[in-house]
Amino acid sequence: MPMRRVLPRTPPCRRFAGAIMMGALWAASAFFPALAADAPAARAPPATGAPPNLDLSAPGVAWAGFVQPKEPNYRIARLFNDYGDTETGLGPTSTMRSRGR
Amino acid sequence: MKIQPTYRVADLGNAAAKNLMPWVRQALSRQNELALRGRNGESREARCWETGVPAFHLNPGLMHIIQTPKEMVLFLTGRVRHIWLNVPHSGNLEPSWYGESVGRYEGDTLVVDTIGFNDKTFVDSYRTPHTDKLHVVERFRLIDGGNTLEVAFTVEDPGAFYQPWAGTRNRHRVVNPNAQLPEFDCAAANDDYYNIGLEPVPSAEKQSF
Repeated sequence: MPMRRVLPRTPPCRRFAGAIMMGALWAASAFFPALAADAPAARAPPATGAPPNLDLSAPGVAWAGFVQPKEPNYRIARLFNDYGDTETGLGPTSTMRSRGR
Repeated sequence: MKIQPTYRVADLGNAAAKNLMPWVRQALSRQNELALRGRNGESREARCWETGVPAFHLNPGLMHIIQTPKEMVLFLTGRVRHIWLNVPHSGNLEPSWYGESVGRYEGDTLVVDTIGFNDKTFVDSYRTPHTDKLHVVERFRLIDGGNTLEVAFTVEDPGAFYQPWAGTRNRHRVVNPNAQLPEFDCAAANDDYYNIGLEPVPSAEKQSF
């Protein structure tokens, strides 16, 4: 006659606690997709196609055409709405280089 | 006593000015006379006209940029430019304020080629005119460890300049995580109340929509 091992019965209170635990895990799993969507990786900015060293549109970044000098400076102030020179070649019509300044 | 003029006056005696064709020199001479009399000295942009290119870069304000794989959009105090990436110029362009800009990346530089302008803008703050043959090539790159955006450009216009000329315009990185793209409304009641020869603000002959 084959031997039969009798497993000890789990007390009802433990079965009840286990059911609560499983229910809690199942309920939490329902929120996993939302949590994943909120993860930083999912909020990464879309690809720009630009080279890494030419990321001009990072969040919160803008480009100012003029920064006020700390003390009066004609050369800087003049650039408020004027072009700068190129190192070689013909420059803009009225440039500091051609004016000898 | 030498009186410093309030408005900017183009120096027509320098080497670069010799590059101007006669009609351009005459236009600048007329403008210089007005400026020295304290008239019509405001920039075109100050009178709410579109700036064209390269004068777009003269505005000292904040430029915001949106980059996508197919398009780059530049916002600068109410002005908007579209740069279409990795496509050729389309044919039969209708002349427009900012022309048609197409761009491509060359290493760490964005090269933008623009044609198809109308002839209603000026190329600088001195009111140097141009024709609809204007052709501008801009090269955008980051220098100073990424803190400065350099825009180097060349301008050619066989109807206005004898040979191409070049210039640069730098912008500095400003970071404000809470910043939003601002709305801009130009010229509400911006009339010539003091009769100083201000250019009229632009107005539409018919509704756009």
